[in-house]
Amino acid sequence: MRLPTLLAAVLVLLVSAAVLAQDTPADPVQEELEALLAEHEHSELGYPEAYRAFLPRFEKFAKDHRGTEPEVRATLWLIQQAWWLREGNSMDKVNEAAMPLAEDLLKRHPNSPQLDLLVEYKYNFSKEQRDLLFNRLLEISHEPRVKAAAHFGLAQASPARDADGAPNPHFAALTTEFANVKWRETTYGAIASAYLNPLSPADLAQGKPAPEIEGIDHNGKPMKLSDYRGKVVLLDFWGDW
Amino acid sequence: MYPHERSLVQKYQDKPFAIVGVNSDPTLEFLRGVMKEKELTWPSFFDGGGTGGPIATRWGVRGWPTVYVIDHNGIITEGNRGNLDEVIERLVNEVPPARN
Repeated sequence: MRLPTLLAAVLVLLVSAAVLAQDTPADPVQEELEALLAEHEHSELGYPEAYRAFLPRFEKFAKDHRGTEPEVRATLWLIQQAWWLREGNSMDKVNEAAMPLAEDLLKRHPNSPQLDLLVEYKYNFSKEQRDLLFNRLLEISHEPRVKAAAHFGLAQASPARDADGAPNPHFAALTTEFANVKWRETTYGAIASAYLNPLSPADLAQGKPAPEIEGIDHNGKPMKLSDYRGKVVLLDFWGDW
Repeated sequence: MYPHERSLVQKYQDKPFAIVGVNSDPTLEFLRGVMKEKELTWPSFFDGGGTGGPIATRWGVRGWPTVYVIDHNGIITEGNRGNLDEVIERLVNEVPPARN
């Protein structure tokens, strides 16, 4: 390769690196939001106190950055944290605070990919509110992950199967059209299938053969429960919390 | 729970015994971090990143930890806690010696 050609090649590489870097500029608004979320998460205040302390800051952020995706996330925080408005067993105040925020998001950000969080925070909505919100998401969103989440929220609201054993329409959608949409590190298809084929207490009673489990280990390598046949196994459902 | 599990693994290291976890932490990276930090030597299924994962859902698990003891033939023996140690001790001693 002649020297000028080599120089030109190096130059092209440098320029494309610069262009690539420019393509993904750090978004200062997003960074500000992430800092705020982290600050709340690591706050040493107790829960209702942290909510009260951070509420004005999240409200101000949402107001200052109205119309942006970070604003959607900040408003979703307000919806999630409305939980702390509950009084004894009454969720009335929570429902009253969460619903207008959610409806406003749907109106102004119908295609935000973050609206699946409305389903994660479903405990802050009454049954009627959930029904309304999730059906509305199905109508307006073009985002597969949001539509899949809405189906999942609605699927859980009624029996998984009808009297003839047919899956309810929302689980049916999750095992077909939305089967490959990701939920965290797994798929809606895998979760729907678990809801549709649950093990009964009788299946898990003493004296019954342990049902097979097929999955992955901490390195993503396939493993099976039956790999341990011949040994006494302590099967331990756990999490670090 | 970890110290107890570690002591079981140690006690039965030369016996036909295994702990198999089903982990509901948020990411594979998180799970690897916990295993390293807490020095967990036994394997775990990674259940998709939350308590709503497919394995826990199918098994109807609603509280963590939930444990089952399974004998060497793959038969469920003990649904939950109580005298876990005694049950494991008895079952491990019931396993016939391996034929080579």
